[in-house]
Amino acid sequence: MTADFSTRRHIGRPRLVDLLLLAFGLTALGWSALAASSARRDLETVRAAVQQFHASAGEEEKRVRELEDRRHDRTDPLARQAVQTLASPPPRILADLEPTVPTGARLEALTLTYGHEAVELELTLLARTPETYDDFVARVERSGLFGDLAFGSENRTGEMKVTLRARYRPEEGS
Amino acid sequence: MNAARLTLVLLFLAAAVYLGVTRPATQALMAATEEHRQARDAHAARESHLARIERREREQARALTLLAGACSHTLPAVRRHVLERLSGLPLSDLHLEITTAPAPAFAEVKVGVQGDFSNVVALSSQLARPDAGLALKNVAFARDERDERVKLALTANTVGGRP
Repeated sequence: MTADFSTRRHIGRPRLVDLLLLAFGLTALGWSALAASSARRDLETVRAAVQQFHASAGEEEKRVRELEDRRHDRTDPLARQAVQTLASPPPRILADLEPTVPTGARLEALTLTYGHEAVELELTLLARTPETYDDFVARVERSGLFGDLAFGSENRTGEMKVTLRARYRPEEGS
Repeated sequence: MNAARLTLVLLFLAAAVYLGVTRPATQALMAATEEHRQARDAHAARESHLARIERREREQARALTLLAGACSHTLPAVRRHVLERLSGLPLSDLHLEITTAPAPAFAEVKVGVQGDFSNVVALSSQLARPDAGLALKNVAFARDERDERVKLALTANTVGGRP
């Protein structure tokens, strides 16, 4: 048997544990690099989408302003009158109002004003008792067809003649 | 360098990449995602608002065109047109007033009449039909306290340019 006295490093077969350690280190580095790359890519995608929204926002706001300006020009009340006349003619409003008038009450007067944001109603009701009038108000509320109720003064002794204002909103009704 | 040291170096590099690149990018991504959500919501709100305005514009243009096409643009023609709609119903105390109106309307029509509730409502229905060419302004029904008749006072505009 001869002894090996050389100064050259002895390179033996790598041990399994060393290989596993190296594989672990390389996997960690690879995972980290992939995660970084993926995060950067996602960030760029999202930033591009945000930029796109910001770019379109200017155009959209300009268009909204144009349309809003046109809406406030002089043709608007007449245009609203025209739309409301076709959508909410007096017989339709009367038909929607009829079920809200309980027994013991009757409609004395009704004024419809067209051309505002919604058709405005002013109605005068003759109710036999305050409870009848309360029932009418409850029915009007329940119908969902009349909003922005404004009540006139009530003399709650016996028969009542009361004025009530409302806006007709058929699109919100049940 | 043995395998353990090399592994430590690799782990150090992985941690450095994570802390130096991945984590700041992830934080920036979260902020950008939130900004994207807000921008998307604002975009949806603007789109919806725009669609509402455009739909209203279309409805108004359609209604104005419909009514303008139904009625002539001279006062005698408007008068004849309205009288045609008033005839045939058993109504009394007819009052009619037709005057010019400032553009974009052409004429203002005022009708006062009395009759049974059903006839008065039928008249209001006729005057609100598209072929009447009238854009209603004010319609007042009032029950006569002496009898059961109903008074109707109606104000409307015809649509269209002057001849």
